[in-house]
Amino acid sequence: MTCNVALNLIQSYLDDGLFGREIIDLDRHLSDCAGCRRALDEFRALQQVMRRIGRQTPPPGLELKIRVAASIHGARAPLKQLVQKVGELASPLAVPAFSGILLTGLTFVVLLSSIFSGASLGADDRDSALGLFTEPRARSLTMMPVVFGGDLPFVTQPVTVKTLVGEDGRVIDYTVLRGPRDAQSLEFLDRFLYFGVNMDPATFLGRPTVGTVVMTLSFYPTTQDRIDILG
Amino acid sequence: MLNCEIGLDFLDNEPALVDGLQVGSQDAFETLVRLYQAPIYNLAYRILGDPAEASEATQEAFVRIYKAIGRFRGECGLKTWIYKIAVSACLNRRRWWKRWRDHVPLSLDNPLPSSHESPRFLEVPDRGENPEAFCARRETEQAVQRALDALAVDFRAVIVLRDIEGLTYEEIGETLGISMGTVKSRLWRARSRLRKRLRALIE
Repeated sequence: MTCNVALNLIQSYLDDGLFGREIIDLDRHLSDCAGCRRALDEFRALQQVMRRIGRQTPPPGLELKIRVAASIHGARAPLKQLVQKVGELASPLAVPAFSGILLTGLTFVVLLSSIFSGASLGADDRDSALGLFTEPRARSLTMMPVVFGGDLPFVTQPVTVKTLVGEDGRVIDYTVLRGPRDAQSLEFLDRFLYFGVNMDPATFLGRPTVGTVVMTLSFYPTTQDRIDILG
Repeated sequence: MLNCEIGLDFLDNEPALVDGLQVGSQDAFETLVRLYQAPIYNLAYRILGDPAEASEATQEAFVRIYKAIGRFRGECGLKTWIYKIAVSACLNRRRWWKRWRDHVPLSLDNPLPSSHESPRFLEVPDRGENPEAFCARRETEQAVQRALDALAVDFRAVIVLRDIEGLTYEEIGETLGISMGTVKSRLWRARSRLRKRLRALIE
């Protein structure tokens, strides 16, 4: 056995970790090698010195300090435990909740992108946004023979009227703001506005309501099929 | 310390002690403190080399034990688990202390923090020994502590756990999270260095 091997074994020997053949070999080497024997003695003495210095006595009051520190932590612990418990309860819901939030976000992204990109969703041009008030609009103006009957002369001058349009799109009443107000002209206008005019009614919050509209009418007796409306 | 003072039910009954600690029994915690405060303080003192720091590290270790005892599953012995936490607390404390010491300027007006080298107060426990024996023991202890302080902390922890606290190689390995081979190697190197430094004492 070489001195290097012996020195390695000495440590195990000191810690009672050598058995059988190794002890015999080490003892044999130690009996022949003064250097290793001296090393063993010194290591043994070192062990004894280490054991002799013993344990340091804890300062008085340390035990009390430890208890106080632990009790301070213990006072905070219920809140932490509650938070931990809520976390444990919520953790199984984390994936579904996250998926829900993600899907909602994606839906809004798709929806908003379609709105702001101006993509048509098949809406009619005549649709109006809910919540807005819309005024009545002329849908059709008819100059049927039944209206005129051929017995009344046309109003040849332009006439401006303010009409009150009902929920069904029919003219309920009107006022001539400018133009002829004679009896014949008024009768002509009565027949035309009450029986020949069909309008889209005014709307409020998307529902038909009564509204007013100001129109300037020009009749052309030569063609008899043309009415100009300004307004 | 008399046994009757420290919860007889828990002595020699580690599972009962662990159960008591895990349900928050004050008696169990007091028993644990009384059983382990001296070894943990001693370990901390030998690793840190300063009584005030050792006290702080001991407190920190027990608070950590108190917080973590619910997670103790008995995969290793309670003693090993406690030492593991204590060593970790000591190393944390040592890092903190080194930083603090490096950044705090010394003042002539303020006294130095107490340490084994410059004690402000020397507390002499009554061990029933004569003054000469006390002085000799004190000198030996200071020489050993100086030699320990000169070792790298990895070597210091191993030799303190083995030669002062009496842990086995397996327990040291579990405590420090290292293999048996590393324990043996560190122990050998630590002993060799101490042997050189303390030759005057051991020859």
